[in-house]
Amino acid sequence: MKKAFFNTLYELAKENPNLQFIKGDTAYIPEYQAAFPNQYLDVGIAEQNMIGIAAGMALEGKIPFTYSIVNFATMRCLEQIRNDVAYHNLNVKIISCGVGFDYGALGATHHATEDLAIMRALPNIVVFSPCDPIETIAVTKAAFAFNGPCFIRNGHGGEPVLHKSLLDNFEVGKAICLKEGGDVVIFVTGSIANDALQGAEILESKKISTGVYSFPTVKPIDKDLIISCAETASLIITVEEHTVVGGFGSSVAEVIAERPSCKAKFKRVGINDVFTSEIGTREYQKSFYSIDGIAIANIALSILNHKRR
Amino acid sequence: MITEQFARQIRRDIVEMTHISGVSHIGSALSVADIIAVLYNDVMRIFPSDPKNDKRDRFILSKGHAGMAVYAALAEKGFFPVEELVTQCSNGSRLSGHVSHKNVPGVELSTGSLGMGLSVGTGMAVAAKRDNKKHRVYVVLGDGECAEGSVWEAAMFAGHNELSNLTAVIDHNKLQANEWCENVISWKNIAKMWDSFGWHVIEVNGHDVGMLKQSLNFIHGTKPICIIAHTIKGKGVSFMENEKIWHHLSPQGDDYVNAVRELEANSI
Repeated sequence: MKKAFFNTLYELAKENPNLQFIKGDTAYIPEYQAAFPNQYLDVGIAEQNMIGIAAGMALEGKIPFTYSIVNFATMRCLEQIRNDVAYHNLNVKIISCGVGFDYGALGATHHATEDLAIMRALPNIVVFSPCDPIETIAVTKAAFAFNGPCFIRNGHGGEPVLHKSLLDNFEVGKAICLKEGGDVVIFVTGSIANDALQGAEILESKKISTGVYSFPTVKPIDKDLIISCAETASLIITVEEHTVVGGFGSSVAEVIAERPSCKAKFKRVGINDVFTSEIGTREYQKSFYSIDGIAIANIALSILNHKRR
Repeated sequence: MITEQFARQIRRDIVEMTHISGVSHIGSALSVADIIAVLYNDVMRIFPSDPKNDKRDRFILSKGHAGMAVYAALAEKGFFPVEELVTQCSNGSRLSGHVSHKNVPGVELSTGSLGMGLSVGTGMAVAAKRDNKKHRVYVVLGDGECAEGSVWEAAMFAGHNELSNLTAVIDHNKLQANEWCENVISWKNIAKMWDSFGWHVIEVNGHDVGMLKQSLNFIHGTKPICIIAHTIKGKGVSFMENEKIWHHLSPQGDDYVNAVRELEANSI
């Protein structure tokens, strides 16, 4: 997904000289730097300054794309994002790398587990969280086309392609069906969508019809789809590589809770309000914190069995 | 209007605004009044009837709590009606206590959380260089504000990148909200600090209009300019000068009458 982002960035920079890529040390992109020296800026390890500079450039009509690892790109400079970028509704794109356990072995400082909750609380900002390289391309283009602040939570790299073709008709705020099915519906954001699909296959093997929808946009959330599924399915599960507090699942829950017609059972799958101090690969972490495909299927089965009893 | 008179009018407006609103930071606004007066009267290219004109010089008040001084300067220059100043902080007013860009012609950036203005000014300066535009960017900071680490992130960047189209002014009144700066964080030598970050440093009396004009017009070939303006918090109203309490108080009763009398007695 990182490669998909930079390939798209390269194309967009070629198209519009106002695009400015501003990085806080991370990202090694010599080809871009050589091709667009006047659209490249390394501010060093100084994220607050990175966002302030981006705001200043946006006030002058530029389209800055800031770049760092998720937690540094959002939390270190949160007040700059809130006051300078969001409050002034500036055309800044905050690009971040390393979703959830992407940096699993590097420790809790590098685990991105609260950013969606924090960013979606800010007015004006569109929050993107793509599930595969195809969605990365689509949200990067959509962010560029949108005149206002955006946040993209992008994967570190090596994620499987889940969509069958490019998303030429991508719409901001609309979820995308990855798998048809209606008894259980899994809403997922980010590249953990692959685990959601694995969980759905396990459920299908037990004759439980299971649909999976990817939400590349977390804010604004696709209310219409959530309501229509929650009115017809038996069980809605949300899946995110992120805390269950305030993030994607909470966003879905808010929609369902305000609609009495939503009869489906509801469960959030995510990190259960803990610091993820366990060390290991991303796959190990997802299993340890019970958010992988097997865990998703088991959670669904236990709710369904309980319901049928 | 000569600049001394303009500065006095800004101070008179500040006293009126704080008196009516009951909201303060009057000491900070009086401290920076001469710097603002010189910028708007003698130095910056401004377009009151076309505030977004691309040829304008850019101004950011990073110490946003002194926003009254900027509102007064803008109103007196015709960006919006002078009569509106007294609505500051009242219900429905567009003039908030900390300087606001929202629907206020002439204000580039809302500030209030300290330490953030210089980075934005730095971004404006980079954009101007990249587009080969000739305007300058001015950012005014407080000295207490310089305890914020983000100020030094911006200072390092601007020095390294030789942003010669950027001028920072430190309103060095030696007082922060409740204490003398040196009792909280001692700078030792604030001029040397900026110098070591790659800036051309000029120290001036921040109430000497002639010196301010000269230093604010100074341009260095490769370095950003840092003007350390030695000022007095509460300047212009004798009983407010160097008194911590006037960070928070607003002039009422005899204090108001005496402040007005002093400013009007000194008018030219």
